[in-house]
Amino acid sequence: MNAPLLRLYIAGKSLSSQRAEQNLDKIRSLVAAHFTFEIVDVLERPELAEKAGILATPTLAYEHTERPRRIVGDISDIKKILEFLGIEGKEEMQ
Amino acid sequence: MNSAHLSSGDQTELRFLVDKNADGIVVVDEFGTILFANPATEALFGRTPDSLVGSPVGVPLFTGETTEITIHKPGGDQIDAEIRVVETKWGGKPALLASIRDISVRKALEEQRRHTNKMEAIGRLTAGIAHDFNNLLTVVLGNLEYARRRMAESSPLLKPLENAARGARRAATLTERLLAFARRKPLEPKLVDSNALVLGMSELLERTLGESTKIRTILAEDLWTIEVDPTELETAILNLAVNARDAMPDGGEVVIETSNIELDESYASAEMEVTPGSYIQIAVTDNGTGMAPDVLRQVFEPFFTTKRDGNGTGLGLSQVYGFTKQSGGHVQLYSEPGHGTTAKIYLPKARGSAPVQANTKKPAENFPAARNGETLLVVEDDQDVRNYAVSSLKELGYTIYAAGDGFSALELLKQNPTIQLLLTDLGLPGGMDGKMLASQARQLRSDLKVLIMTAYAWNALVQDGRLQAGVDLLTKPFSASALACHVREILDREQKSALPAGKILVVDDQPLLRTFVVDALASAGFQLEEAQNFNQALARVRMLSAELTGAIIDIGLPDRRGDQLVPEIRKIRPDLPILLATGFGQDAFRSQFFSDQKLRILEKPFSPEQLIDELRKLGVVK
Ligand SMILES: Nc1ncnc2c1ncn2[C@@H]1O[C@H](COP(=O)(O)OP(=O)(O)O)[C@@H](O)[C@H]1O
Ligand SMILES: [Mg+2]
Repeated sequence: MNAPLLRLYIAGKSLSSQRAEQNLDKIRSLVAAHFTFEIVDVLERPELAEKAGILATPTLAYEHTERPRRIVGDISDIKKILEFLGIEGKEEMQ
Repeated sequence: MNSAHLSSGDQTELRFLVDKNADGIVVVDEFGTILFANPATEALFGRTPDSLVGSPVGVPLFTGETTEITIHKPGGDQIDAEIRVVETKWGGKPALLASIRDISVRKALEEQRRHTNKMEAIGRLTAGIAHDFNNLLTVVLGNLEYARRRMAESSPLLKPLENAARGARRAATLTERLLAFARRKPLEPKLVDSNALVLGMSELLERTLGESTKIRTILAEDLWTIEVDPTELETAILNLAVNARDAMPDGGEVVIETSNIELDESYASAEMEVTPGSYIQIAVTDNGTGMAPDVLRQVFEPFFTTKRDGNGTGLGLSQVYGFTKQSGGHVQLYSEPGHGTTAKIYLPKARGSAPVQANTKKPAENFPAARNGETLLVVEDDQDVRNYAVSSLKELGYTIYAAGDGFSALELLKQNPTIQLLLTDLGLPGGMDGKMLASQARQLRSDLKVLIMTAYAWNALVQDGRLQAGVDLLTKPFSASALACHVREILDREQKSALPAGKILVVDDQPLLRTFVVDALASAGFQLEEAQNFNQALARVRMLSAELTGAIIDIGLPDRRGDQLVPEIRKIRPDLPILLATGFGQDAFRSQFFSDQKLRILEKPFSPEQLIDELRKLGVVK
């Protein structure tokens, strides 16, 4: 089975987009084994954002077929985010 | 909004607050789906609140009180917003209430401020380097020129020397542009009719832009006069036109348009650093490639260029930026990628417009030399630059005094009344800069001509946007020929202007006082005759008669009183302007000579300026 996808929508090089990318790196380092990651710049691929109904950036989308979830903002509260995605952290996942 | 705890009256009130709130308010469920949106969200999201309900905006999860997001409206517009979140319940289930505030304006201003600060910082850095560079180049160019002049025409070294000089001159052009960007280039503002200036450039523009680029001008009638440095304005227009051409590789049309415009408070508050008022606008428009936003953000920075293979220097728009800012105006770029660009220069209308003169600069002849006995004082702390200036001027036949600071310069000026022109660096050590030296020197000698050497346009030099009267600027680095021409021009100007023909007779028995008066007048360009007593004076008047243009007579003469000389002179020259110098009893003499229109009383002690001023009142000096 493919690892589920975490997709971050950003808008160019805005400050909040850069912060979100940094935070995504942190999340990636914690749960890398269990997710695939993707970054979409809505300024470059507006059609993708349109299709996904993205209203604002940054938005982190967990494209899970059963329970798709979204987080809006710079995803700085990593602990809550992992909780929200149903992951307690690296240790628990092993 | 825990509705379970609210009475129905409270709920109505709360509903009212939420509906009327200027901030957007949304409630989202635990999966990030919108449950409620107030009316203000419509402006933020570009969608009706009804259509927002059910949309998956996402759960706002972040640390701290607020965070920034970018809202993407349908159609591609963006809004920067700040969100703030509180936990609540909605329909009995846990939910989050987010208030969303539009901060686009604030962000834009912050961005502008950041940009301005950055440009300032680059400017300071640039100016510092360019300044030092200029001093070095002055020395290099000067010595190269000196060596070349000493070289036989047949020498094989001539060519390498000329190449070196050419390289140094190009370096000087570069530093000049850097100073222009840093707003430190000395400007010589004049009243300018921009329409005439644009028309005057048509040939230059056609030649520069080439065949495939058409130029069209749309010039406003009754365009206001502005007060700027015309050479720099031409450069700015040329830079914009060249950019327009480069943006249209297959040719096209450049439109140059002038107009009057009032910039009001609202424009000024949206654009930082703009003072509301009357401006003229010069717009240069092309239908070329245009610029993407990230290019547009950087174009004013020195050395920013997208042109390859050395086609761009990245200094064109830097000059435009520096020049307009330094001239009290500003520049705006509007660009649409794929469609074209308009660059707009705004320059303030001149206060009290006056007739405009075309700026016709004569090409300088080579190395005009000194006339008999012309004497200069060179003040410069940089020894190399000083040596260079001194030796160049000596070679041309000038008598030169030199000093390394303001105080020794003043000493020299006091001791040597023959000095006609003060050539000083602006930056001098010891607390007296070139400008202070100039003003003190001119208190000593009101007629002294001053030429200030500088690479900077210090605001201090400029009053109301122009140079002080009688002060000229020589931009560093300068060549020996520029120095020679400038000095010659100033000295010649002196001779043509107020120089009176004829002689002035100074009658005084005290040698010190007589010398003081003679010196003061000699340095103002007068020819002088001296007499020590009544009889000598009368003899001189008889002898010179018509040659005299004035007389300065001390009351206390050894043989007869000075005032008694007046009626004797009047017999020979009824209209000779006379200054009667006295330390006492002015009132008595005033009434005695009340009816004499050509006589004035000069009270002792008096300064050279007062002396000249009195002569002016008598019509001896224009
Ligand atoms: N009219 C224009 N159309 C498109 N791009 C422009 C225009 N004017 C300026 N630019 C861009 O701005 C850059 C900087 O311009 P400038 O400071 O004049 O330097 P240079 O022309 O030497 O590159 C250019 O390289 C170009 O990318
Ligand atoms: Mg250019």
